[in-house]
Amino acid sequence: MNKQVREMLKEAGVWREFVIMMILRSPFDICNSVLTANMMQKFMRLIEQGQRENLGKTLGVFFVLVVLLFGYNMTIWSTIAVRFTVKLQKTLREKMFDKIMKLPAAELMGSFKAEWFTRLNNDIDKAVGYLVSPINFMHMVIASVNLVISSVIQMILSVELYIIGICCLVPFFMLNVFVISAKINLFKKEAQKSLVGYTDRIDAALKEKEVLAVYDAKDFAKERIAKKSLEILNRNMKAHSRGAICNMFYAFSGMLGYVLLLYRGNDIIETKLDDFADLCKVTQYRGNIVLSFNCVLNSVINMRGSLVGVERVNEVLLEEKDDGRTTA
Amino acid sequence: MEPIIFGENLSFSYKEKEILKDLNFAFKKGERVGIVGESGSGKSTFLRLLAGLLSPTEGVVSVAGETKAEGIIKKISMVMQEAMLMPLTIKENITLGKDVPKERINEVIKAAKLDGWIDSLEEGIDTYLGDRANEISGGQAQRIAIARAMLKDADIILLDEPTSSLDKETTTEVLEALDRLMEGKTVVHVTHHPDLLKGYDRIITVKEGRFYE
Repeated sequence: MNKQVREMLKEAGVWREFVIMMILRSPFDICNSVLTANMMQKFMRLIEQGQRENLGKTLGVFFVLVVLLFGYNMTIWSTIAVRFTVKLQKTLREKMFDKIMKLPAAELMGSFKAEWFTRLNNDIDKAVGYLVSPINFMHMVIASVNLVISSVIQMILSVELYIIGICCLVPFFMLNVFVISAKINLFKKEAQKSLVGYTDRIDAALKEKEVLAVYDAKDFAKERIAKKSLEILNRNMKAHSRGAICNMFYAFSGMLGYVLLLYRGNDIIETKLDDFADLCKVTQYRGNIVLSFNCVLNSVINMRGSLVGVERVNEVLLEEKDDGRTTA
Repeated sequence: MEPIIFGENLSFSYKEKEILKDLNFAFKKGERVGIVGESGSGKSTFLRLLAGLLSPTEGVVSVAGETKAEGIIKKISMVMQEAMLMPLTIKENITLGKDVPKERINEVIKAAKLDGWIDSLEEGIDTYLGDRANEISGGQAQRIAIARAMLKDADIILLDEPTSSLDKETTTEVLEALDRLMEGKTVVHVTHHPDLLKGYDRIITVKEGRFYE
């Protein structure tokens, strides 16, 4: 885990709750993957062996297990997650508010007001989002657990098919990490800065509305606000474009791996795999690997953006801590 | 001499509360008029009526021959109580998007006594104020507002307590800049401090929405 995030959690006093929450959530995806892959294998085998009358019974078992699994996720785990989120948000906002109240009046005037307003709202939302929002840190951990265990299971079933699947993912991974998503964080940081400038200009224009009227400068102010708005749009568009290119390569490499797996898998039935049901199980795990892989990548991209919020929140929280140390 | 500003039976109400009641007044060209009164007496509202920023509920206000807000606003310059600067460069804060020759900008910068400070900045007049807002004193901000008013060069100057948020030393500096702004103009100056109105032609007290001279 990133040092900044660890420090923020410790400073907010929710580190222990977060670890417990992660431990309780981590097995969910892999349990779902194992359940689905085994059921798929079972259904295929029943069909292959002509035992179609047992399909309903197996489906019933599958339904009960799925209800239990998702029921746990929706009730017990969700309650813990909501409590954690509320506590974290409340603590961060209170600490940030205390800090703002201690600031010299000059820092709360003019453009700095927007800066603090953004920190109190957007940055805290981003920081909390890093930990609990979809496709962020939590999904990265859950998907990583799923990725590792699914890989081990697939290797046990067929090392060769596992290697084929991974070979299709590696170029996509390299391209994504080193070429496509490298600048996404930068674009998001710039967009966040532009948002501060945008809020700042609107704030100033509202306060200066009489001056703008007297000096016939309403259109000038509007144009300057629009310029900032366009800046945010452009920077977000650049980040989105990179994300779209990333998804395109993901779809292609996913399909390529799937075709190669079926092509080669069909050849090795009866030598390395028992039947088509086993091949289905392998493809199911391979699907989990691809999905988890993509989830990890997207989570990392989103985490980079959300980390900006964590860093900006820490700038305030940890500065306060440093002050305390100095005084002591 | 024909008055440059006059009001007839001027009243202004806000949310059924009558703030200014049946005012009749006339200010001559070049006259300096001070308006004093307690907080909430209606003096700032009066100034906004003169500026065309508010419309009277009843009666007429005429400024340099204009009676409609959009006409009046073109004839006046105004310096407010606190100069809230925009997150733009110093130059943009002075010109507010107008295309003004460099020489003219330098002229108003000198007249507003901003030249020393601006020369000390690395990027001079092109310094972006968004990042330096907390480094700008109230006096510097107010002098930027005065430079704006000088650039507009209107015949009528309206001042709404332009020194009330400044310390004594800064007040003196800003008053010097204001003196240059007011040279040869018609001035209406709203203030809590009658001592700032020494040498003014008229001083009017506003009490419960009425004028007492």
